[in-house]
Amino acid sequence: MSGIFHRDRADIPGERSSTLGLAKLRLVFVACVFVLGYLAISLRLTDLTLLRDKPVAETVLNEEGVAPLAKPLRGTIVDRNGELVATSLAMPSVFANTTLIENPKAVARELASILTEQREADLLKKLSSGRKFIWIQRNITPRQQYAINALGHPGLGFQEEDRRIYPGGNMTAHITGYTDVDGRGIAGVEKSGNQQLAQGEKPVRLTIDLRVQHILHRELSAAVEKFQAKAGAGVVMNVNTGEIIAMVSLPDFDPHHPSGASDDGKFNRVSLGVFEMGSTFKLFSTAAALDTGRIGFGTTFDATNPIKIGRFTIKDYHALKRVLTVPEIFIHSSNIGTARMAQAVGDQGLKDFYKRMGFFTQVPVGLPERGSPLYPSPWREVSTLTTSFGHGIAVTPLHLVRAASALVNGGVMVTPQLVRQDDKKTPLLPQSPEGPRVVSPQTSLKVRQLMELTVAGGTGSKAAVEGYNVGGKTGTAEKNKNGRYERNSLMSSFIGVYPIENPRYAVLAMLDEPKPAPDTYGYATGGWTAAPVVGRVVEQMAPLYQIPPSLDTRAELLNEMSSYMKGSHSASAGTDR
Amino acid sequence: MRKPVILWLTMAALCSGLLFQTSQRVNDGRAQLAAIEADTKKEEEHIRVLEAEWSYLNQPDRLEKLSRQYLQLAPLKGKQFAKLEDIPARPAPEVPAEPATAAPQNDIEPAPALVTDEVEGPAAVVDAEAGPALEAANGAAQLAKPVPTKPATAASATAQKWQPVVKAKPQTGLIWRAPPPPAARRKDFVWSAPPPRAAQRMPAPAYTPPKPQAQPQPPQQRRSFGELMKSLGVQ
Repeated sequence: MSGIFHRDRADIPGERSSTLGLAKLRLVFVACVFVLGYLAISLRLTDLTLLRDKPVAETVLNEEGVAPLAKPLRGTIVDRNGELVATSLAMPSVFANTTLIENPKAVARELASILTEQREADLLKKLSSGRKFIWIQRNITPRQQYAINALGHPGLGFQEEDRRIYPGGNMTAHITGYTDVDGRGIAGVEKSGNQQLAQGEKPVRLTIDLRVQHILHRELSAAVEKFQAKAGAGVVMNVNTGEIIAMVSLPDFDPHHPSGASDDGKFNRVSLGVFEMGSTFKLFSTAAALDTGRIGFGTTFDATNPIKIGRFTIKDYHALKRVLTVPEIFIHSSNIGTARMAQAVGDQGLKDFYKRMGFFTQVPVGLPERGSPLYPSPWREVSTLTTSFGHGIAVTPLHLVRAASALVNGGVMVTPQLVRQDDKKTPLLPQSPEGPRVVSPQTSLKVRQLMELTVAGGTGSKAAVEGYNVGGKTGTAEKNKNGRYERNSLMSSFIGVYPIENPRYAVLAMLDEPKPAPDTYGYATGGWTAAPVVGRVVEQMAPLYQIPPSLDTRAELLNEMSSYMKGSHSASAGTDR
Repeated sequence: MRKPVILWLTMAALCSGLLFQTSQRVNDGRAQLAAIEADTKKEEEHIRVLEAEWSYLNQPDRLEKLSRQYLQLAPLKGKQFAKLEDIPARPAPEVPAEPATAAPQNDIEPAPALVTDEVEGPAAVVDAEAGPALEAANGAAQLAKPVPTKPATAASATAQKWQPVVKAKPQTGLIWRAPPPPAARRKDFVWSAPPPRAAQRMPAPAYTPPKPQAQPQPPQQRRSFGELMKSLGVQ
């Protein structure tokens, strides 16, 4: 090694000198490489230690990466105001290595005082099982963990596990859905928003307002209990944007324990259940008639006699037995008159109109639970007649609310929203709807007038609210059981819209097989059971949304409309079917 | 030893020393970083727990129960709104000067979460039929001895039964109902002299299941968050 640096010794003439010279050259070359290498290292060291003192940690972080953290907790779901609807908590579970526990009896006694829901004997059994790993209890609270930790037993350990928490419980169960044991969403928004939730970064923001959700849930539950209904469904929708403000399906379930819930409880009646809606469908057949331009408020239809077609007979339950104008047909909810109107629209005309209303396809909503409508195929003449008053066609309540929203918002179809895409706070003022036009603004206005009339002096009078002008339409369908329509199993509903002079929200309430209550005089129809629910929801929701009350009584409208109405102005809510 | 050898050995020693020191610092930094990250994660988890608990404690049905029990507030109703022009002019300044509490306009407005059923029993807010405007005007007229023209006209104007004037006014004319002037308010307003606490001020739900609540119940506590946690654990 040292010879490299002593040229004098290598100075030998002749052939050997050239060989030695070559070797020397090689050695010098190798030495240079080493010197350069060390130089580079020293420079780098100087740089790292003396010049770049602070950012060392960052460099390590960026270049090598930190040991990956455990899988991030599943993201949260919040309502439109940022209130928590679902979250994940890392909850400790306590386990024992019983080989390390010397005195199981003492430990069991101590544990029993902390884990109050377990008996000391059971704990003792677990602790003296002799196993190296045994769960003592899953998902304990932080306080319990602290207390157990403070015991200081070497044989007890903790393992953190994710746990999904729904603070609203049953109230939001059908919206959130639930997750399986591995934390994958398998229903509701948990499923449709699974990708974003699994990343755990940005919360999924719903269009739901928990306050309104609570109001609707409370009122609907009260009605279900009062009328001993089998089930209930309710929706509140912004008619201009299609945002779903509240959505309730009863019975519901506890999303914390989905496995313990019945299938009936987990069935989302709002978006998955399809029902024959009954008279609320007259909204659409009437709108179809008005939208033709050939039929106006003054047009009359003969409702004197029932219509017989094939094996069907279409009759009115409290028949007026005379010629009726369009407003009369609507507020008295005459089946015969509506069927005649639908005839005037024509088979193809009504079918096309229903198609535009979205009644033949699933509602595009951000939920995995979407019901496919049932409608007559092929479409016969009798289909036109029966579907005009909501029989022979079954849609989800969401279909109904969406189509009604489109009718009253000026005639533009909306897309139901359940998850908000942006983080902007939506203005509270009405927004102009965007979407394909389905009816003319004139038709929309006329439909609103008819709906207002129904509440002001027709079948929907129980939905009236002091201070707010509500419009609506009742519906009472007989349920089809084994091919027969049962007179006493009703599907009673009410679709309300307010403020009717400039609609902002549509509210639907539906009750499955309500029984008459003492104060409904033997009636269990939509006007008696569902309309009050809508009225109460409107009354409580409107001040929350700072909707100024309408202080005018709308007397002009009622006067104007009464010119189209001959006889009785006083259809009671009970006469509606 | 020759000089170059010493030189190179020194350099190598220096380098290895520096290298060792650097690696030590890197290790320290890494441990610190891991500790901070673990702390952050822990804190974040704590925040999540607290958020969940907060949200659990703020569930509308719980707030509703508490409000029914402890507060004398009811949800705002449509008929409690009035138009600006229906409010009489402020009484003349002769009125004995009360400590001006500068009645805040929004003191009728309940917290948004306090949504409950309609008011049927004793209303916490003065019924609009009587109209605070009328009361206010009357009170003012009584108090102001040298009857000035202003309150008198106001009183006569509102002497007819209070009614919303059917006038196509832009809705900007609507205001939250302003409280009457302090003098009148102290005398007439329900706020200042509430009935005994025991009376259940908040209305019962629209339909109460058939178990009558004859007496004011002890504070009905919702099961605690901890219990929910426990219930989740038992599966």
